Amino acid sequence: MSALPIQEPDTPPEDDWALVRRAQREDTSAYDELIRRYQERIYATIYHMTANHEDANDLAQDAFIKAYRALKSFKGDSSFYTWLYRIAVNKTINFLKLRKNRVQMSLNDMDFNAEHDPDLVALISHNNPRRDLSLAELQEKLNAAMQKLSEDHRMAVVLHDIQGLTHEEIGAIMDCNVGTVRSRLFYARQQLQAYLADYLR
Amino acid sequence: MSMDQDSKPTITVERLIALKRHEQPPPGYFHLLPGRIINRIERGEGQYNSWLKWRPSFSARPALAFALGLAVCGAMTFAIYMPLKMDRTITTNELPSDDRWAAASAGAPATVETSFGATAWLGSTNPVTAPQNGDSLFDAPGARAIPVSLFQQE
Repeated sequence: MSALPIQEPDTPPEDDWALVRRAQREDTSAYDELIRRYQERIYATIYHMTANHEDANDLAQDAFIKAYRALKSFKGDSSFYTWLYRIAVNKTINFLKLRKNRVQMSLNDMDFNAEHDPDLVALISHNNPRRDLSLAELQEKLNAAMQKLSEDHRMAVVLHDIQGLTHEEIGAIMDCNVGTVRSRLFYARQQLQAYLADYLR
Repeated sequence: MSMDQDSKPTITVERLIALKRHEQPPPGYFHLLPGRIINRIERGEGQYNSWLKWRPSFSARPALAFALGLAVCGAMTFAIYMPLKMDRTITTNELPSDDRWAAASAGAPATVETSFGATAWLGSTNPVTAPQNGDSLFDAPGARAIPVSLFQQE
């Protein structure tokens, strides 16, 4: 899940479409390939929204199963990638509405590369007023701040700043216009800035 | 103040958020996930079910579930009490005034029209108020009571 690509999936859309056509004829091996292509992005999006691996695991599986069941109705008006994202996003937002009162954080360890990430090193060692702030603590504070955002604002941040999707893609996934996406991002960053003021420059 | 100017101080926030890309699921997770999903699909999970379609809505909006429950209870109450109420209406209409009761006691045929225009015997199962058509057996001329005994008389 490290360093997710910023641009569109590497696979040409026509390949996706061919797999979708086969999967629509109940060829599960074709769908297996589609899962392998998008599982990391779908899982990561859900994980960053829920901050819980178990929930992300359940929701990712449910989203892929729901997509498979709905595949016959997929006409190719948008890319499979956008369509799948939309299912996962809606499922996650519905889940979060149900979970509103159940605050639960189960944070996974960062991978080894994180310790050498120049941004993180800079934040922890030099630029942070609390120099003794540990990696885990910083992660925890960041996740707690993320959880304070509304579902829509958090989703915009996750899709743009973590997943690297464009405003247009996010608009298509969240069924809103680009202006709304920009506005949500702007507001969400301001909120995070306020929540994390003690830990930032 | 423009949005660009406002967003300048948040650059660090964006970089901090981007660090979340390093968060990883347990090792081997993505190797196993497709198989789990395909297994669940082949077991028939996620098939269309109208109740399952509504269930999340009810969970997310308890007011909706409450309203639906209330409507169902109201419909059931209506279905149960309306026939009883109709029966009571008929009975009330039948309940004779003193004169009518007296006439009924005397054996006069009493065909009581209900509020629905049907005769009472169509709408009522009450043997007291249901009219008896024809002459009373007890009022027949020369009729007398014959004692009956279940025991054989010697």
